[in-house]
Amino acid sequence: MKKFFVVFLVAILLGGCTPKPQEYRDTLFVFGTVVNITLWGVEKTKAEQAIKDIEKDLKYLHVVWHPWRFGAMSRTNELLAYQEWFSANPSVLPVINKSKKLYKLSDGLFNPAIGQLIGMWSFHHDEILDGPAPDEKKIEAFINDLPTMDHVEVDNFRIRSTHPKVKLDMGAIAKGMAVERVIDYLRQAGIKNAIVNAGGDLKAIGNHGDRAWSVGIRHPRKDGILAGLEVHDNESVFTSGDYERNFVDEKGKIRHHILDPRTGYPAKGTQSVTVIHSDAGLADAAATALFIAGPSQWLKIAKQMGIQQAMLIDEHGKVLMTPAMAKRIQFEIEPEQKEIVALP
Amino acid sequence: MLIQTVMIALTSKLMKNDKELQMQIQTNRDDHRIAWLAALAITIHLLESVIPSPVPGLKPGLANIITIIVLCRFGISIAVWVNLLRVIVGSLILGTFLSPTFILSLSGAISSLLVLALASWISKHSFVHFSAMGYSLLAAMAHITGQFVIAYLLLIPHPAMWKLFPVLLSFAVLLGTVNGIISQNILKRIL
Amino acid sequence: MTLADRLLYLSTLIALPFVYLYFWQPVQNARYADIHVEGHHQKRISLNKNQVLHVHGNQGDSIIEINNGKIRFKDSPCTSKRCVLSGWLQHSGEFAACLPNRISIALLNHADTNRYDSINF
Repeated sequence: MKKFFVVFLVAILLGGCTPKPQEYRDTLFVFGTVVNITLWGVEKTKAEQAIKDIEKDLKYLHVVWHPWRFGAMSRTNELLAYQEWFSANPSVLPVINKSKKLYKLSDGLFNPAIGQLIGMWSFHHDEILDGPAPDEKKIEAFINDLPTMDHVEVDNFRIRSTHPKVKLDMGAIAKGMAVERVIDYLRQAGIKNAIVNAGGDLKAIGNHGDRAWSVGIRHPRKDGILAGLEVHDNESVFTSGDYERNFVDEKGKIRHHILDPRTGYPAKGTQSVTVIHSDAGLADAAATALFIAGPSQWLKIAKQMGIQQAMLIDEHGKVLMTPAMAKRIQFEIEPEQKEIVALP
Repeated sequence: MLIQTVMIALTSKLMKNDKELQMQIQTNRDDHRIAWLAALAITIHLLESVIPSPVPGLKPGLANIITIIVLCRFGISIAVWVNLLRVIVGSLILGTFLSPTFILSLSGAISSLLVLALASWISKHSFVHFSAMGYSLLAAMAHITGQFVIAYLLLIPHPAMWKLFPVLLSFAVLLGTVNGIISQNILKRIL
Repeated sequence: MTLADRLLYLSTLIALPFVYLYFWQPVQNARYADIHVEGHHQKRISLNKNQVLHVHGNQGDSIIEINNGKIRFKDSPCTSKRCVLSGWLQHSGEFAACLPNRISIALLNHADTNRYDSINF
């Protein structure tokens, strides 16, 4: 009788114990930001190993691409100042080549050669402190003799600057390229379903089991989520906002980190720009460029950069969307004003 | 017909009339008791499953009468055996073993047994003494509560389901009372 | 009945109305609807955006309409049309399903961000 019963109990327990594929999340404090990695349907040991490798790689990239800390990029900046040809470090060359291309496509709005201007605005600190805005005359002088990516010449593996003030700061593209690299690594490791979110900008592959990955876009002014979005395989979502890295100047004015290379001042007219594209590096640069372009020119720049899906929130909180973006976005906080605007 | 045949086969096995089995396993008085009572409970369980129910998940729980009587007459350990055998064998005969129906009836049985175990322990070790009426009410309420918790966790993880809970709990109180009265009367006659 | 039984009955009957009060609390207007197909979560949609969805189920497309914070089955390929007869839903916790087509709608009112896999900013 008792044996008979034990068999049943075992059968019940075994029936209830089938392992289910699960979500695996981890948070890394690397690359000067918080990186969240979400994997789905990956064995725990495999996931742990992958995340360890990613952490190592992102720590390396942070040093290599850092604009002012000792590393490959800051060494490149030193050598560029001589305005002579030199062999570029292989780890910075792809970023420079890509930046040159995107500089052209964005009509110069994405300009990583203005490292000195960013320094003047003292955005060159991990912690941004409140303080006075830089001297107007200094900014004017810089803008009148603006260094650009066209002043950085690349000949195979050699590189030189033709402008004395060129100083590369890849802040507007490094995050995108790093995310792209992490995704490539995950794919090579045989991981098919993942979201990599580096400080709010993300790329997804695969899905969350039986449904698509869902992503919330934070409201630029209020607490909470402005809109939700299903993100499909190989899509990145990047947002540039005036609320991210900013400080208050001596007049109590909020100065954010997205500098307009045409004026030398933080770009005006925009609260945030969100861009969806398969290439995370391009999406990152485009979000910055469209932000600077502002409501009057963003569509033209988007078209040039090959962006179909973009949303811009202007200084009054009005939401402008391309038709492809409007089709998939689900508002949670319904904007008071919104408009669907076709690409030219 | 089929069910009857299976029933006879099963009860005969449980009763250890099978000579082969009797040679292998020593059985005692409790085993026989459990087998008889479980067979009775299973029969009620099966009969009840054919009665159509106006509200899904609502059953009179007549098999619980056996549990209560067994508890009052032979103690909690035999009641546990009888009740769990009823759920498992009943589901095997109905073909619902390991299905959601089975999981629900097992979780109902387990939670009511836990509450009954606690109540009978209290009755034994303190001045608070429950009778068949109290046991039946407690068992019925524990049964439906256990089922709801498991259904919510495993089967229908939706908050709207809990809207039904007060209604079914009221029915549980009603049916627990009816079953309690029946158990009490049967117990009076046996004694 | 023993004294313990009587006390048990008394407390049960006193507690029962409170069980109703607790589980039947007034409902809030929902902000989202979860659509499940074949028991699998298909999508979560905001009730803010007026739209008509075609959801593919077992027997064909069910048409789900969202209008001013309310949602309903507008049409479904089933024969009973029980889902269509459930009408508009707008409170969190409400539920409607087209069983033949294996599609269900459940309303909810989360304000948290946990339901997203990732947050973009």
